[in-house]
Amino acid sequence: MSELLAFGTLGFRHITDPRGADHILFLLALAAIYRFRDWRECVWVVTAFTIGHSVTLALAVTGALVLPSAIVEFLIPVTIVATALENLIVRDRSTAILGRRYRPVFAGVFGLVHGAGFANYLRSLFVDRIAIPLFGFNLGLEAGQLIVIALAFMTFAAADRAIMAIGAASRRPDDRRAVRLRTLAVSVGVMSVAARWMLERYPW
Amino acid sequence: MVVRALALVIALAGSPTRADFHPLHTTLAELSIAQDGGVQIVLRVFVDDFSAAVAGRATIGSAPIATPHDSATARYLGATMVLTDGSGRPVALVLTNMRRTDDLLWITLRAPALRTVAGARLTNRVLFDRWDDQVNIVQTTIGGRRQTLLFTKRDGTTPKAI
Repeated sequence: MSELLAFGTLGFRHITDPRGADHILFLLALAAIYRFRDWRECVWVVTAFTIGHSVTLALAVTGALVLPSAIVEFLIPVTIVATALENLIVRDRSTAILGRRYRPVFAGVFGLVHGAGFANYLRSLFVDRIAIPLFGFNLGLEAGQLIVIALAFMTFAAADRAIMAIGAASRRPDDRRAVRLRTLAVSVGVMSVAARWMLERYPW
Repeated sequence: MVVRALALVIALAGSPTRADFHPLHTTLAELSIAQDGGVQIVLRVFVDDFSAAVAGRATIGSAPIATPHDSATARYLGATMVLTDGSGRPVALVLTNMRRTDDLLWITLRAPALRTVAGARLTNRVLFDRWDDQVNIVQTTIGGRRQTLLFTKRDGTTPKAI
C-alpha cells in the first residue's frame, strides 16, 4: 500500500467511525438546512471545513501552532452548537454578511478548531516526512465527509417526504415547511448533544 | 405534532450515552534493514496507552504515567508484534532501546539478519487489547523500496508481507 493510500484510509476511517460523533454531528448541523438540489452549495461548505482543518492540522504537525487539548475539546462542541443555532436563527442567508460566501467562511473557521482536535493526536506521530501523510489523511477525511453528507441527504429526503405525506393527510403538503421542520428537528437534536459535551468538557 | 417530534429528538439526544472526545488510536512503526543486515523496527506509541496496556490495566487512571519496565515491554511486544522469515519461522525481536519524549515512547527492536527478506511477514497487534479502533501503521524501507502497512483489529491476526 502506498503512503498516500494508507493515511487516506486512516482519515476516512476516522471521520466515518460512528464513535467520532463530534465531527459527524458538526457535518449534520452544516447540512441540515439544505435540500437535495442545493448539494453543490453543501459540498462547497464541507470542502471549506476541510480546508480549515487542513490548515490547523498542518500548522500543529509542523509545530507552528500548539493548542491545549482541553480547550480544543471544549471548542469543538461549541462550534456544533453555534452551527445548529445559526440554522435556527438565520432565516434569510442571502442578505447576511458576505452573502453566499457566509456559510463556507464560518465552516472554514470552525474547521480550524476541528483540525486542532486531529492534530493533538497526529502531531507526535508525524515527526518527519509529513507532506504525503498529511495530504493523504486530509483526502481521506474529505472523502469520508462527502459520504456522511450523502447519507445525511438521503435521510433528510426521506424525512421530508414523510413530513409532506403527513401534511398531505391534513391537506397542508408544503415542501418548504417540511425542510423547516426537518432543519428544526436535526438542529435541536444536534445542539442538545453538543451542549452536554460542552458542559462535560468545560476546562476552567 | 411539532412539539412531540421535538420532545422525542431531545429525549433521544439526552440518552445516557456519554460520548468522549474522538481520539485517533494510532501507532507508527518504521521497519528497515540496518547496515549489518539486521531488521530494525522503531515504534512510536503514546506512553499513557502503552503503559496501561503493558500493565494490563483497562483504564489509564489518574496516577502519574510511568514508562513501563523493559522486561514488561519486551513481554508485551513479544506477544503483539511478530516477525516471521521466508519459511514462516518467528524471528526473535530484541528490545534494544526505549526513550521518552513528552507523551511519546520510542521503542527500538532489532532482529538478526534474515536469510532472505522475500516471504518475510509482520503482524502488529500493539494496543488491539485496548482499543477496537486501533490502527497500527508500519512504514517499511527495504532495498530503497518504501511501502506502508496498515494493521487494524479486524485483520490484525493476518501477517502482512514486508
